Amino acid sequence: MALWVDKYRPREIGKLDYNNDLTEVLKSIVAREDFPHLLVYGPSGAGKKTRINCILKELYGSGVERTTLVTKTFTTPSNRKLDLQTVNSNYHIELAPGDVGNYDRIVVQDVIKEMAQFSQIDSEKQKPFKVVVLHEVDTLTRDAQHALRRTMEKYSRTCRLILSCESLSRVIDPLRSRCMAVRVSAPPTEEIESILERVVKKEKYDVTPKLLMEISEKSYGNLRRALLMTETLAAREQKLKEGMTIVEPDWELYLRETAGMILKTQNNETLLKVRERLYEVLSRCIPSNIIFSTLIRELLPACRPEAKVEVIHLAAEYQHRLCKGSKAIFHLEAFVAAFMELYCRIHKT
Amino acid sequence: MYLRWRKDRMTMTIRDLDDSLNDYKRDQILFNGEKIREIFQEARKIKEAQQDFQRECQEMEKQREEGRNQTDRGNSESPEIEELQEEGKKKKNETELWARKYAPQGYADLLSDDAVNRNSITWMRLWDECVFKRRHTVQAIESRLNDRERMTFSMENRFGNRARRPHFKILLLTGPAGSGKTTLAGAIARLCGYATVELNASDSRNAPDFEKAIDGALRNQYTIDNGNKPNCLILDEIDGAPADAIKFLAKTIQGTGKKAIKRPIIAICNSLFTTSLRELRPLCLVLNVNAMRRERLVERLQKIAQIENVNIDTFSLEKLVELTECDVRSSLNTLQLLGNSNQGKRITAKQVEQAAESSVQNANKSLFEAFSMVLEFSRHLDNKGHLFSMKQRLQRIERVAIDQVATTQNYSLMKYMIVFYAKLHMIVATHAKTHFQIPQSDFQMLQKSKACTEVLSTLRGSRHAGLSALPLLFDVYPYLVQIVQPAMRATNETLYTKKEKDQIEHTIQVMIDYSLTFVPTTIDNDTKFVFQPPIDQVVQYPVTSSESSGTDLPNAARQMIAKKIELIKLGSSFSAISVDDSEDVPERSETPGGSSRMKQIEEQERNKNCSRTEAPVPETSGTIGQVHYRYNQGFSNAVKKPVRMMDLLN
Repeated sequence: MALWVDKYRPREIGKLDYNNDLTEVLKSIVAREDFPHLLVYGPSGAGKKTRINCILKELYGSGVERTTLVTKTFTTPSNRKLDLQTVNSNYHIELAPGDVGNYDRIVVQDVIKEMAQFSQIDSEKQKPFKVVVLHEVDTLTRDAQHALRRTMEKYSRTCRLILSCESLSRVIDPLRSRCMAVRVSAPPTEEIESILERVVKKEKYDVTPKLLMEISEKSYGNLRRALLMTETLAAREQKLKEGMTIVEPDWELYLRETAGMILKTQNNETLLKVRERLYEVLSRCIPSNIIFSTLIRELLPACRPEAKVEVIHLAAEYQHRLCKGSKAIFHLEAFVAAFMELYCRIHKT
Repeated sequence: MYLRWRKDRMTMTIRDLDDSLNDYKRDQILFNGEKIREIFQEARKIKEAQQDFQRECQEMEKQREEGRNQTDRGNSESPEIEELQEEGKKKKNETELWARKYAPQGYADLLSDDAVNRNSITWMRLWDECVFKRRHTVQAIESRLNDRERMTFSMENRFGNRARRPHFKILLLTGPAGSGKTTLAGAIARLCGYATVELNASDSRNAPDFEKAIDGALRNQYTIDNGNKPNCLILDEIDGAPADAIKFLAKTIQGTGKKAIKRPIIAICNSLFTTSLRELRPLCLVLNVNAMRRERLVERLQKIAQIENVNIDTFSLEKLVELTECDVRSSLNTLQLLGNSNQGKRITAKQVEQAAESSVQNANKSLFEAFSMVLEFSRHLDNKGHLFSMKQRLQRIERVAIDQVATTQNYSLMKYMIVFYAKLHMIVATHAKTHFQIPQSDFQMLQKSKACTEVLSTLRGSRHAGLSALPLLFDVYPYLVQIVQPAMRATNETLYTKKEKDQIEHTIQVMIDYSLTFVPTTIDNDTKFVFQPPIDQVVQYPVTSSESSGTDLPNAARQMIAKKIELIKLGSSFSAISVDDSEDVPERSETPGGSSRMKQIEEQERNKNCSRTEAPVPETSGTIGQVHYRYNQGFSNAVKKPVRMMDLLN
């Protein structure tokens, strides 16, 4: 528990910092005898996982923190072996079935069935059900989501689900209606500031409030990132003062540079260079839809108002094609080329 | 086989052409309908002509079997030519493939390179000791060889009085199609007094089949119908055999004692570097049969033309040889076709070109050539160097497009493929030479992303990393790399201040949490400590702007950290810390880092031990100090002193 993010993560429901209304709701849910399926959603770094862990602790006590990392092996109907890492305790199991791609349906079914077949050992003292935590449900295929909806009802006596995802839009309606949806919204800037201040004080660093304000603004409501940013700065200098450049992740900087290149010159050579850079980003496992949105975020402010609609339209179209196709580089490069053409047309006349 | 396959393909393309004709008529896509229909009809005529030729070839092959017994072997001695011509006239209507009819009979007739011929026959003679029990020939051969050759043609070590075999049990002949490999194999086997047993692609070739063939041909002393001749196994087209069969073969030839093979095996393949041949290659004597010399082939063709009464001049023959790329078989086939169709009339170079192009060239064009056909004008010039008319050009492109480029399996769309290539040609064809390269970057990207996924999945093995991959990749890892590399003075370990020591302590803790460490790696004769798993390669980009000026930890510091991580992992962190501190006694009082660290570990251990029990053991972090160790041995009481465990550890 050495990174500040891990070290100062609240572990009990009472110690949660912000979203106090939500905390009250969670408390009341846990206090009741009957625990519903939960669907926790909200932006990255808002504290979904922290809250899930708090709920689990509240349900089962500290025993839930004794986890082991287990690699489970599944066999597909076509006899392929799949490996998936899960976090197990006596009371719950955590997994991110999106990792196994198209075979997630089998994983979901197998795991839940396995969990549900054994009821709680000591059902008198404990809650009569176990919990399956599924991360990144929005990356699940349709098949897997439909498989979930049946199993959720069938095994609801012995097994409850906590689903977590960033956006509800890719979760099918039947799942949403079976769960109690809990939105964890990102903390406001002031809230981030006060949390940062507390942490920094505990770590005995000097800090000016202005720097904290800058950090919390640059983190866009992502508390995880804000804490990491602060710690990175602390690793560099003994004293935290204003005027320090706030570190951003390399991949974002790299894409920003790429966007700068696109805006500077629009010709074949630039396109080739951009292709190289896109390959670079793709090869380091950054998903293509993230590349799209980051590029758009950097490109849009430089466009004239009348071009903006068209640019967004272009991006939407190429991203749609990307979803249908399989080679991301084609569509990314096609978008860049189309953008260059549009930019030339509108800005040079 | 090949002919039939070719024919099937032909009919398929023609059917497709018809379809596309109808479609074009309806759609009127690119050009006006009249024109395009004209083009396609002409193209179809060419296809049909080609098809007729193929059919002819097939018939020839059928009749070949019957014809074999009746035909006299052609001999190329000049005094007999007159006589042979007579014979040729008599048998005008008989058809046998000339390639078969004029196959070389003796060693002197072989067209392939002399050195190859000599070497292969030398190898064959090495078997004499084992097969014919003639020791003296082997000795004679050995005395003739120079040092290098002696290596290649070495014999097995002698065991007692047993007959020796050559070191290499298999002769592997490789070379392009039609360079005379099969002929060479057959000829030398016959010359050395063997009966040939041939196994080629037309036979089924699983491991059991190989076993049967080898048992039958090589282990048995003599087979009944071959008189007194021993067998020699010829494995033709071995590169097409299944991998397990080849594995079996490799195993068999390494056999010794009773299982040893006692007869020579000759294997023949087109490409030496087929993956299935990997195991066999080092066990074989590999001889490269190159395409033969042009003059030699032309000379032979001339003789045959004379015998068969084909009226053709040397220039056209040279052209023919050039077009077939010195492929003996196909040049002879083409010559035969021309001779049959012309019936004694003079054959011009142009006819040769047409015939050769239709029969050979399209079949072995590479992808690159196909594309340069589309993209270069220089491929569309007539004899005088003028560009063909558009119609002719499109015709040729269409042929290429169907034959070569259309490799997708979406057959319903295939009829439109031609339009694409036609259009491509119209837009971008140039006079300059085009250089094609298969793009590498996509493949490299794939390799790299595989490596990155591997690194990421290794990282996720640590417990603190959690399960969702994306937040880790987006937020945590980019910062983690910088957090574990704090700004540090480059100085001796003992001179760090307390704060710096804390920082190092922190770094070590973080790295252990995320199962990272540094390992020494040699780069350019320089040992550097790099991340293991190489997380920096995944999250650090070559960003040029000064904004991300993450400092790299100096090598010495990395080494120190790696050492400490290793020690902690081994569970011997105590000794490490005590060694650190024993050097400088004055600082000892103000280094609680070591002991606090130890306590933490102790606590972790205890937690692990009692994790089975429900309630955690109450906090007992101070117990370490209560273990006493009394030094009770020795000669003098002067050294007797109660020492606490704590002091030893600290």
